[in-house]
Amino acid sequence: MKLRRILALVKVQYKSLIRVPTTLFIILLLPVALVLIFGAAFGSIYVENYGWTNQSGTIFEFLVPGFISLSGMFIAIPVALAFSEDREQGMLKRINTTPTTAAEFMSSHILSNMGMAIIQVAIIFVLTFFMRGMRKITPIGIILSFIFMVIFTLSTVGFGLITATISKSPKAAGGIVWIFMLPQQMLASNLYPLPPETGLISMFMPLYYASDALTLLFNGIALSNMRLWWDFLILIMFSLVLIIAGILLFQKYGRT
Amino acid sequence: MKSKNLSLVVLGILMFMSFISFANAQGSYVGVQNSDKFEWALTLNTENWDTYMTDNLEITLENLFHPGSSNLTSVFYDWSAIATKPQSYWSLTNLAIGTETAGQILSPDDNTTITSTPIDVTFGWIISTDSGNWEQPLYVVNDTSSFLRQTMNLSLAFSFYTMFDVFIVPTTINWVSFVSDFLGVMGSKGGLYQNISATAQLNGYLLDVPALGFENNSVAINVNVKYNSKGVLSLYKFSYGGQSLLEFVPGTYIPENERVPDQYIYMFISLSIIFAVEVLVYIVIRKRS
Repeated sequence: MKLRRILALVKVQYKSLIRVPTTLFIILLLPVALVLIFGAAFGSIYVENYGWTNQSGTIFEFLVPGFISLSGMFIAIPVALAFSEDREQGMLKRINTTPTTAAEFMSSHILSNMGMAIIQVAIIFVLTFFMRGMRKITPIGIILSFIFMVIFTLSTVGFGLITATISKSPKAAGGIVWIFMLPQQMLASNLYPLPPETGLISMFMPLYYASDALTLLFNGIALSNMRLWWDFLILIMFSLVLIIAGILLFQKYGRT
Repeated sequence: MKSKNLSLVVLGILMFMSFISFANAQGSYVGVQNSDKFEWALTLNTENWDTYMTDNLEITLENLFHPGSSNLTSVFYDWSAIATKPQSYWSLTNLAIGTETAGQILSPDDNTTITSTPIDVTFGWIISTDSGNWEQPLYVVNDTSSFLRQTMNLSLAFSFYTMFDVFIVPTTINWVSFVSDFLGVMGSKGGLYQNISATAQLNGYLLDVPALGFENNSVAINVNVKYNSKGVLSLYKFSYGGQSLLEFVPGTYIPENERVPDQYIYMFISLSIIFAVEVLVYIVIRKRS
């Protein structure tokens, strides 16, 4: 694996992303819009003993961790589209004729999307700070939020790859990706309190662990909190399982 | 020279004395220390209360033992709205052990002079959304017969809230003699009281009332009470028809945001197995190609 080749491919992916405004909107502007709209609407509504953490604060403060983790989920869309487009346009076959290896190609996608997640989180943090939505999080909590989101991105890349494998065209991929995204968005984003039975279902989704960890960090919990580290551990395992499953499936069935 | 040495010795003793703390004279029957802290969990099995409520047993218990507003039904209404078990956690802190004295600690119910050691304590309760505490003096009596008086001949055992007066008991209680004395009192009282049978345990007692023993209890009543080696309540269990209505056992409160759900462990194990399988598949594919 050569880093230079990977970085060149990362550059290509960012360029193609900029050229498709719809995807760029979903990845960057949708989270921004969510923060601005919900910050303005719920930034001054104070509630006590809200959600499973039983904390007090504005509704907006409770929503922010969900927005961050949810925006990481949106990364599955460009991944699914990019891989299915590359396949449709014969890009993957052409890459096979170059010295670039499959591992380098996959790594470039993983890296570019991790970078995208960092940009997303940074934008949301800046906006949330100005809208007084992060009063309890500590500086270490902010750093950990970035780390959690970078790890979570791995799992979304995995979902994107699985989507690209089972989709026959980019159009189909754009729809199929929601099969993975919508249930997680509804059940695991921690945007609203759920009954315990539903909570059990959400534990099968990686978004749950990202949202859970971010909620804890936004509540300013101590780093000795074992739940946070369990979230971390399970998120790593989920990401590894999904990214490897995505790569194996795409290499076996998705390249032609 | 001698006086100088003497002065140094006296000065040394005075300096050393600053490190010595003088404990109150504490009866040998008191097992707790000022620094002790005790925690419990109260579990209300709301699904088992139907028969108790339909039997309207509370009226009989009021006539027999007079628990008043501290009755078992009050315990039910205080905590049954909380769906998760245990419904609440309790603590006993800030113990301040006083000096043993003789006095009428049970007045006006009982004007007998009893020797006891007073302990000022703070009781606390906590649930995920609220907490509270109150201060209360407890009296640890110095012998078995006084303890039976203190429990109002075990009237206190027929509700949970009434047990707060006897959370700390003397460590020297002879439970066999205690139960024997209790049965003697019940026998002399006659009536429905005679239907209570009691058994001594190693560190507590069991009370049993057969079905219809209190006339309107359609099923048997069982009360299980145990104390730990320090004489602190370690179990209170009230069962009706063999089904536990409530249990009070040692337990520590962990805030919801620090509690690791059991499912996390199963999830981690499952993901680890899937990961191992994936790695194996990857190795096989690499070898084949």
